[in-house]
Amino acid sequence: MIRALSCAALLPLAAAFLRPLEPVQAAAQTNPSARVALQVDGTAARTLADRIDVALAAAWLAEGLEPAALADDATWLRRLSLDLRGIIPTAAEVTAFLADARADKRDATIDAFLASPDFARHLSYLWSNVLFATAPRERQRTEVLLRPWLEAQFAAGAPFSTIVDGVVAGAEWTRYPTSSAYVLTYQDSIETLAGAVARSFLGLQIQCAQCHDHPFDAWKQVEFNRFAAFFIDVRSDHTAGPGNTTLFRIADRSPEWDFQERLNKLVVQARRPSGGMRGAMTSGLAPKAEGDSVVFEEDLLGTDGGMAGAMQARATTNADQLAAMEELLAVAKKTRKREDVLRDYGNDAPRLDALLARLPVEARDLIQRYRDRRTAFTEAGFLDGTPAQDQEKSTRRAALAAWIHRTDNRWHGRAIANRVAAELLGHGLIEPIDDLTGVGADRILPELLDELGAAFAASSDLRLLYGAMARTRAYAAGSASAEEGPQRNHAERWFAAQPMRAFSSEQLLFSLMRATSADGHVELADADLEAFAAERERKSRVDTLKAWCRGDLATGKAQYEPSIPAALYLMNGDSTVRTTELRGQPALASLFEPGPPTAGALDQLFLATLSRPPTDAERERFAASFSDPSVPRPRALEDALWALLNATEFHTRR
Amino acid sequence: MACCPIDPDAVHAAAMSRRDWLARLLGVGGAALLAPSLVDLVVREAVAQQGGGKPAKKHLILLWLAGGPSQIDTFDPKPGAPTNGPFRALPTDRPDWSFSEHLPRLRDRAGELAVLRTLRSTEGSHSRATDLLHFGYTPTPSIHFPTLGSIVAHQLGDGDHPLPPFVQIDGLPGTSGYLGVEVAPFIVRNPTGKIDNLNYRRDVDSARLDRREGLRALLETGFAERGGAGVARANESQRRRARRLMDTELVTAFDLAEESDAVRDGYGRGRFGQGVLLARRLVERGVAAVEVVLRGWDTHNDNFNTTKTLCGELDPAFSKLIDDLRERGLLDDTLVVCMGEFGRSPQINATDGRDHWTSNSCVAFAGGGIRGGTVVGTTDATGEHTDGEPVRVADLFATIARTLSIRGDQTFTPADTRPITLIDPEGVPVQALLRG
Repeated sequence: MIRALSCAALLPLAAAFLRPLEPVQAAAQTNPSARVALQVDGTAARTLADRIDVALAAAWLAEGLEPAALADDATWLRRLSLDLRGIIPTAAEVTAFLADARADKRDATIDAFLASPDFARHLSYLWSNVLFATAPRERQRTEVLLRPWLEAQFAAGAPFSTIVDGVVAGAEWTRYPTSSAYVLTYQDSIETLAGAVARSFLGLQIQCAQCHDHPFDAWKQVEFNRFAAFFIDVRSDHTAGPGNTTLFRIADRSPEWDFQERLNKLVVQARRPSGGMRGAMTSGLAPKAEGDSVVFEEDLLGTDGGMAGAMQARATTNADQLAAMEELLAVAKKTRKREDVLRDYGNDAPRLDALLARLPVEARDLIQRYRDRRTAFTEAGFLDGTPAQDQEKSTRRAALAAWIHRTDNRWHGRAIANRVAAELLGHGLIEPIDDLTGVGADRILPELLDELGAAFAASSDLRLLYGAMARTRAYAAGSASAEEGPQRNHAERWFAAQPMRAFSSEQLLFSLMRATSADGHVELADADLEAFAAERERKSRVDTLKAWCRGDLATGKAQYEPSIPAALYLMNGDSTVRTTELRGQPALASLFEPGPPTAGALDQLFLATLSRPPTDAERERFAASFSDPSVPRPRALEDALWALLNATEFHTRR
Repeated sequence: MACCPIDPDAVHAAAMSRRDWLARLLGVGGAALLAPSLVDLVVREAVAQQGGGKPAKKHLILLWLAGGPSQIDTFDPKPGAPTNGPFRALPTDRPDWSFSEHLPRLRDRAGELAVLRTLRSTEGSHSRATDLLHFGYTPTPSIHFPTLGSIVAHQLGDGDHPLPPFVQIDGLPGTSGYLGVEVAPFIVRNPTGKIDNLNYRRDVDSARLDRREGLRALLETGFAERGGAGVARANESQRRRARRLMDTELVTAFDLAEESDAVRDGYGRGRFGQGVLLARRLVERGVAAVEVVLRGWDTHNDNFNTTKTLCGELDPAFSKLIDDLRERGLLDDTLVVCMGEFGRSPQINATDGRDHWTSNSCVAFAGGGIRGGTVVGTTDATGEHTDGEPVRVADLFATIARTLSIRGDQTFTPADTRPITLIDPEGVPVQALLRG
């Protein structure tokens, strides 16, 4: 049994920076399973990084490119912190890093970041964004249930396959759906769900084949339908929990079960004296308990409970229609699990026709629905052409998840490696990153991607990919460049220079919070999955920023984009003038006092915001701004802080 | 009830005195009864003060019915047909044209409306259909298409005008895509609320903000020298626009309290009605494009009660908008388009609802360049099929472009994609909708 390792306990973040790090190894290598890497393996990452360096060096030679000069320590640390933790480093971290004389300080920092709880949080946001990128807008509220679950998995050092299993096949009874919140999100449309799973975990855009065979695409409609069939039994379920609570889960119900239940409801409804129709029956997850369960449903899932369409009978059911439905129901109830409920009629077409003629339209629709689902059931198959075995059909979502993260899956490893490359090196080796088989996709260095994909598939450990890519020469390259245009694009295409990239909405929010906090601490983690109110507040703050950031369909990420509301937010909002907490920093004390500030105080302010010391010109100018006797304290500090947080440099990863 | 978006304490002093002057001129507390000519005067004054920037000559107001409205229960009733449902039809002078009984005011203005009854969509999911009807192109993840308002703002807006060229009220996510940040939607979440972060902070005046900007300028210069010039440039242009918006008195456009109760009641006091009133105020002051969203049309359940309620919001707001624009001499230059992402099924489902329906839906037009009193396209007795060829979304966009005198044949080559023409050249304007 694998014991989850508490990263938080292992390596408190601040401590990691104040004292040299032991090379991280061996601590958790008690489990020999190759698929489980509880600890960051610096050696393996280094080996893989060497492979990337060799491949890129050859490419640069072939393309006649010189890699950009190395980024300086301060720039590199800020970049690494944003890429691995989703937040700028604290002033103390920058200072310690700049003073650190060890030759291997960069490697040590990479491993420390990968072991920090911030990495888990960062990954949870990244993957939540990926998974929800194509979710129906009104259903994205379930993100507040899934993201904390993702964070908990990453923080526990769980292999990525655990994420795939949970998201694709989550079926546990819980107070609130956690991993299965994802399936719940898409419950109304298994086609969209199938497309999103393929896009997120396999880097495949199969959903265009939903409606037609695209002449230029690799995917055929039949392949899409077979893949989507893995989700065909998904429905929500609920039961009474301890106390006055309701437990939820996503269950897989056979077409027979579904048919019988729906038909039964029609019959019950039709038997009512009034035959009345509205509001009497809703299927699925109607809240039985009072209190927060109800709040959960209405707030997170919408007023309809987010459940698949309510089944309600029309008022017009007559006695004969009822009798016909009862006859059909009796037949259905006799059916054993997975047997065709219509088999009694199978060889007796006239008898079936006679029955159909007597049924109300809703029941006839049920038969059609049943037949569609049953056909799909018999056809479920994986995207590589293997049909699902009978045994896999009854545990179909679990079987699909297992197929996705099999070490020999031909897409999964590459898809994930390609996403990490886009995060750390600027873009994927295949672009768009979620269209590996796309006809128009831009591909470079396919052998390298194969190798990275295989390495990931073998370990199912994102830290291996992050650790390796962060160690490369390409990652260490500078972004500064006087030139713009084709040459620059050419260099970036071959990873010979790092791009400048605007912050994501999460990076911006968290970095603003850190830069204006007393000790760089940002209160974000919340292990209690039931406390979704806090998570909702967090999401709403992120969403506020997302509203004026440019969304990306491949990553689901919203990146800061200059706009009037964005500019107003930074100019006049609360986040860029918050000096109260800064008072707690002794190094900044002179900025609150009358008279000129100490040089160290100004440096500290720059380190806390731009993660670098000021240039001479900046030091002089900012010091002068504190010397104006007409400006009372802490107004001068507010102005300086405002200027730093409003600077383009602040919200740019460079 | 509505809060004034201007915090008087925080308003830039120059703008304040300007409003005082205006109030004195009008002899009322606030510019409650601005006549059209006065608004015009204020616009010209304000623009001149800020050194350039012309109001847009033509405007688009898009009334977006999110969720997909039922065409049979609004603009294409089928009285007597089993698909019609319980609503009666209100006749017009034309035997082939009627309105739902819940759109009486619009029926009375049929002479100023043009209704297209045979728009065919090709997308059945809300997100994709919404994108299709906003882009004029089939959405694809690899191309960041601009949304309709941004297209219009790009073509008709003046970058120097102090107000944003495209305002989206209670909006849906949509971006200016490859057209860039200059014409990005300026989103107003709540038309009767405050614009987020618009005001000077309580302890910050213009001089202090300038001082802050002076410090920032040094940081920007250094950053540009270290390779950040491109990023910094885009940022700077939007900051300038933001500052101009803080400083212009035209920003009172967002203050609905300047309107009389009668006017505000006329539009309907709901979010949508007040949003449409705001749209009129923005257009008056030179904004090129405004989109106002009315949500809730996704009536899979209980279609008739819901549609009736929503018509109760749409009917007065749309009608009053036409009246006000006409009264102000703006109707000829302002195209009003009212539509949703698709129609709803003629068949009524088991829960008294109607489901998604892409084969035919309705679009209602008023104003600039549209031939009033026109109905185009017919559907059969049950509303399930169009008689003759339906109108494609590309044709709709070509029609909108024509009425606004937008050429739309400019091509753009967004990063890593093929060249895209601003408006799909496949589209053919629907001549019958156009004024001679």
